[in-house]
Amino acid sequence: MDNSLILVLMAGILANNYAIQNFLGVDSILSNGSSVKKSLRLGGFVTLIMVISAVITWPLQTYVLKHAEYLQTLAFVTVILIVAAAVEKIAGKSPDRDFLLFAVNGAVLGLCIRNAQTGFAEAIFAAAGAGLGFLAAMAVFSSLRDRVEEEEVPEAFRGLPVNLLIISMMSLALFAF
Amino acid sequence: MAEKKTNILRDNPLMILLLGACPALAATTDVRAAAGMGVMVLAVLLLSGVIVSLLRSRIAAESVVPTCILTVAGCTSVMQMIQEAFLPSVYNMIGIYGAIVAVIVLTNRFACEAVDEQSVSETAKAAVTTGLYFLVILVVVAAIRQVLGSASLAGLSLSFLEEYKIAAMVKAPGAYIVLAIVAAVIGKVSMKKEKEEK
Repeated sequence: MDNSLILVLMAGILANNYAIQNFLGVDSILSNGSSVKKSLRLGGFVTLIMVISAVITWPLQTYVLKHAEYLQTLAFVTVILIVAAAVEKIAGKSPDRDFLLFAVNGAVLGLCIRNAQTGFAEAIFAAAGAGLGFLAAMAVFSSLRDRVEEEEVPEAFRGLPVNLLIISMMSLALFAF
Repeated sequence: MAEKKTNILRDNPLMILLLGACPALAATTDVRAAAGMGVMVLAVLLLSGVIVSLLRSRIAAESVVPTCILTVAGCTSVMQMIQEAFLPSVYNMIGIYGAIVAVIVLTNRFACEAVDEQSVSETAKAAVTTGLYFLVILVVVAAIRQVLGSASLAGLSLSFLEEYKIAAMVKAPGAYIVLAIVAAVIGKVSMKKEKEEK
């Protein structure tokens, strides 16, 4: 297999992590208070949604939307919404409010928009990389958050501020790549 | 449908910051971009809130979320076009994060909550308050990051700070740290307020 595709995949997971380094979808990660196990599950769904959305939005962009650029946001959001609802249906739960609000996030839309300028194979690998990166970010974040002892944190920093500091350390670690 | 969560955002700047973290981090390398993003979010909140609350009685319970997400996406597209036409420099500065406004939790959840609101005017009021909070926070964070990180403010360069620039401030870790400190200050102030009220 082509080496550059592997690089695209690894960049999505590490150096170019969508949630941590590009802030895309970080609001979904921060507002999701579930355990590590549930985070892994949710992250897996997001990865699946990213890959399926990339498969659909790339031809949509290349063959249809290049004649009507102004429809990009609306068209992409529609596709992502349908894919997210379908994935949840297949996963066995009926689509509920919070899952859709979580799954239709900035990481998926940002990926689809960025993919518009690349080739098809690269787009799929970028989607897989971004998805795995999102999954890793979610799992690591929820695990770190569980380890923070709330009593030790100064009162004003409890909750959102300390969560932001956790992500800032994760992003410092990713700077190494 | 899941349980109704009303007024989660009302008068709670920390919640607004949490749900809008994505643009709050991305658009704060420059004060102008932050102001543009803040105004855009305000406009999207207002427009989508009013539309959703006008259509409230016609939206079926099981299609609330899809309707809200698509309304927000439509409003975002409109605002992007307006921005591109009249403020192209800000539009280019914000880049793809302009489109991301369509999918951040803040705008979507606000629209979903507008379905449960009492009246259109109440929704509009809530949208303006939420949007203004967000705008002010964004501009403050951007000012701190720009002064410390690139020794300039909205295009003016502050030459006396040139030697003391902190490179990390314009990168991702600095963004998180500044936002964390601003959030802690907001938390402290609102805690004090609560204590006084008691």
